[in-house]
Amino acid sequence: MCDYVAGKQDWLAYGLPIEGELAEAVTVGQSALRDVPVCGLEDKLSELAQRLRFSGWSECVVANDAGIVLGLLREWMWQGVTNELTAEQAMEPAPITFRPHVRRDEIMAYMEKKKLDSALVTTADGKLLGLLRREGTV
Amino acid sequence: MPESVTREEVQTLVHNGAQLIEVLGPRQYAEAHLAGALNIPLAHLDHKTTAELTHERPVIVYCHDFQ
Repeated sequence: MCDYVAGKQDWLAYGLPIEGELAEAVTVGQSALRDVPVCGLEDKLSELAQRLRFSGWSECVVANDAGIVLGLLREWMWQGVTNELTAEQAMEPAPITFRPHVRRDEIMAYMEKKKLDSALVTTADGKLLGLLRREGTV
Repeated sequence: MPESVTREEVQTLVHNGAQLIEVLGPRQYAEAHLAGALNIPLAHLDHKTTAELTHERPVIVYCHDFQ
């Protein structure tokens, strides 16, 4: 006999196959925008501004080589920047993250209450899965 | 003493025919369980309730988290 000690929470946090009521619900993992732009700590905001100018994105995730989220940049942070400022110097560190198995409607209500336009979806160990945008925001 | 396995090992074992048992209560099982898992609450885990299991295939038990 084997014991999966990390249990159901670990399984759910990785968005692995499940059955039951939650399997029918829309989760944040399903709603996350997977193609959110990512940059490294050392990336210069001036270069990022060039890269994202016509992308339509108003966020950029700062992550390490393993994809672990370190911070979040918002459009106003890179717009018009011409100096040598790096992502690390400007980023919002340790942004709010949600696990992919949580119900979307619960998180939307939370984001509405806290006036969060967007939030990140990560695995339990902080690996980026995508960005969740609050309903009604662009 | 059961052997501890990781998420990756669970996936491999299940792929190779292992049986999954959730030992939480029926309400928690109904809400969500690993695909293919059976429910035998811990308090009811005995020779009688496990009689349907195939003894030739590995059995993986799990609960909510590190407990």
